Amino acid sequence: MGLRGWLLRHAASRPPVLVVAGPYGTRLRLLVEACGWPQARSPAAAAVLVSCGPLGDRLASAADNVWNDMPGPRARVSLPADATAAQVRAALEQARESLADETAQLRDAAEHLTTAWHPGEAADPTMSCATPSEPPADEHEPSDEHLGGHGSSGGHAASHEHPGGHGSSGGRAASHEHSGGHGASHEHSGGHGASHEHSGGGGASGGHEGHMGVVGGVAMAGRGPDRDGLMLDQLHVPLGPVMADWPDGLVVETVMQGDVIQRAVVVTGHPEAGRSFWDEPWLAAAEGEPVTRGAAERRRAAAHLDSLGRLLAVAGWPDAARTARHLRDRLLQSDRLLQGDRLLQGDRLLQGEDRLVRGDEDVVADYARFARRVRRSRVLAWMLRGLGQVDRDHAFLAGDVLDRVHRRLEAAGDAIGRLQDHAPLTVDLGAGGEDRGPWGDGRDKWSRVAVDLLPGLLEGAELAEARLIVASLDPDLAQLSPEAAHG
Amino acid sequence: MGEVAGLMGGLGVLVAAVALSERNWAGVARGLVVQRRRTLLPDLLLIRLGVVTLPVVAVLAALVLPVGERAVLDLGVGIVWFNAMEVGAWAAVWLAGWGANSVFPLVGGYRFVAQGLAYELPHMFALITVALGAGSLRFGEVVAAQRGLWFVVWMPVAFLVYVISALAMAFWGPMGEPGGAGIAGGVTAELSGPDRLVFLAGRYALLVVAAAAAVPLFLGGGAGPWLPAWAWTAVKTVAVLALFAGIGRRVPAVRMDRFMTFAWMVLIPLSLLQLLVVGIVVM
Repeated sequence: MGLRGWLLRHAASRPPVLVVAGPYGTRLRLLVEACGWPQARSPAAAAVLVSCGPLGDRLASAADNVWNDMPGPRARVSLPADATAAQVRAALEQARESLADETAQLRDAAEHLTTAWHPGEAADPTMSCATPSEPPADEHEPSDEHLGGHGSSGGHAASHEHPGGHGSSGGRAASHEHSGGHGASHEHSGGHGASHEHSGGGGASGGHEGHMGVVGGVAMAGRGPDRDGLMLDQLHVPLGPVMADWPDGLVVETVMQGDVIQRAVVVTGHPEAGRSFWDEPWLAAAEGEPVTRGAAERRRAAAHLDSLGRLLAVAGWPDAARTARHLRDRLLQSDRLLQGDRLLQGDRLLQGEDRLVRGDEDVVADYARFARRVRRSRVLAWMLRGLGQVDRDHAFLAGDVLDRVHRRLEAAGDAIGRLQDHAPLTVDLGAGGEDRGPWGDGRDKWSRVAVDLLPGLLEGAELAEARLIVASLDPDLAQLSPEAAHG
Repeated sequence: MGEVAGLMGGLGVLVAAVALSERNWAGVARGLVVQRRRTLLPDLLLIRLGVVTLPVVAVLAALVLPVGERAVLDLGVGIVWFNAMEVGAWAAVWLAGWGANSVFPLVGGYRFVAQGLAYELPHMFALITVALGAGSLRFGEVVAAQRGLWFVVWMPVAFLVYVISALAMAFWGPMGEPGGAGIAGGVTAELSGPDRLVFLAGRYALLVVAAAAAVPLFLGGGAGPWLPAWAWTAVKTVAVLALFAGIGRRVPAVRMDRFMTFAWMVLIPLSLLQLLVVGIVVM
């Protein structure tokens, strides 16, 4: 017992965190990431699941699936939408304590065994075969097969249409829904049209109830001709919404053969209206609040660094990604909206913030070094060139992934150069020349354009390329809300 | 038996040091307390086999490496043995990726096989170049052949190829795409608790063994002033590991769809050219 408690305490010293954030969870996600805990790449590797603000039904059920999928010791944190930086830190500290709490974790593990699976809802007779026939308690294996994922490999596919679930890591989490009976999956696919397309196109996935190809309650993969004209298994794999280094709240339903995406449908749709975190200074100024231009530029620079951090992480350059995120966090340290306070009056920002201004000088130098390093990397250029080609009409999204990286580096550098601009920000959203968000200057529709471009760019791309393309566009789904569209 | 103790002790210390240097103590502790989990319809036999094989092949490959003067297993075909054991990693990674019955581990498995196709041929040519230069497949004689001049000096291309392939076989750093962030950790995505710990420890062990093998192959083995041979072996191994770490920090991941062309069009011809040069010199 003593040893287990000791190990639990040490294991809790740096627990990997999996963050679930919707389009409006950006602010809280940034606060969580600023705490510096390691980011988990999959539910299996995560110790803490953090929900950022209210999630909405689909995202909440995805989060529940991921939670069921996480092995103990584990802790769950739900942050209220208006949590301040201090509250976020306190909530994470509390999670750490509960991770180290031996009795609580043992109780959770025992409950996990009994609740992770809901055979009562299973209409499919094959399901009952999959319920545990032996008590796994001795082995410490949290329940049985259903606990985990559904995969794809043997071809039996994550398969069809679990838009409800799309957990991270291959949408594994979705399996619960499937296993929970296909009725559930029907309901979910009814939720938005995209999934129906898949069920139509997915070959074998059409059969839902106990047809021949069902293995363990999951339909066998369908087949289709691949790009070389071979008949290969088709897997239906949702990417997002719970996935590390992925745009907040984005879901791309894909049909894959091997690791090549054949078809991609972007599922956005978020009923709740809200504001984009990255647009806030401009929107606030338009409503007559005093905002300095420097504060807006700070937000713009941080937005680009956030996107660059994602791209560099997906590009397999964790060291550079860490630098980008560290710079972002340093910039946002003096961002009052992020910290949860009201925006400071312009004059108060001018006086008494010497310490922050000095810090900013370091940021300028450190950013220059970071940008030089990324620009000079020949391997990065070799890997990114020619991917995700967008034509020249879409000015700031044009070119390949590498062009977009360079453009972001430049835009962030320019914004950082203007941090000391204390002139008041004046925004007239009614006029054509809207200046707001990461790309500013009448470019507020860029997220919509990026989302519209995605399916075309992803088709035929390998998974690794697809991740890089998405990260290079990094659409801000909060800009798609009706409110944002009208300013 | 002194060699066995020395080898295991040294290997253990180095693997622990590499693992902990990434601030991983919490990760090790987690591996010991976290529950195991299963995916839907996994092939448990294959997963367990894959997970266990990785550290086992690393240790088997290490047996032929001279720690100081002598190796635990002083085979006449030591280089072939080393190569054969380290290819066992292919099986380990593929089995672990396939067995989970989940998309991302499977994609990770694909990537590792593709990576193998890219690095293995240049890697073997690099090993053959060393064997040709020494006129022997025995590690001890390879070391002896470097008394005058270390092989790294007159076989730089072979050394470069060896470094790339060492990172590739341990799928680490720029060659880490089979376990990449873009696919939620790839082959490791579904592993938790002790499975994860053993698999990742196996990967670090493979990285350390690949670094340790560079010492007798290219860096003169235990030769050096003042210190005993085993100490020089350790020092040089740590230096190679530091080189790996530096590369890991500076270079982003390399994707096989681009690297494959480079491997076959540039690396293989270059390593053949190196082989030719060494062959002519030896004659």
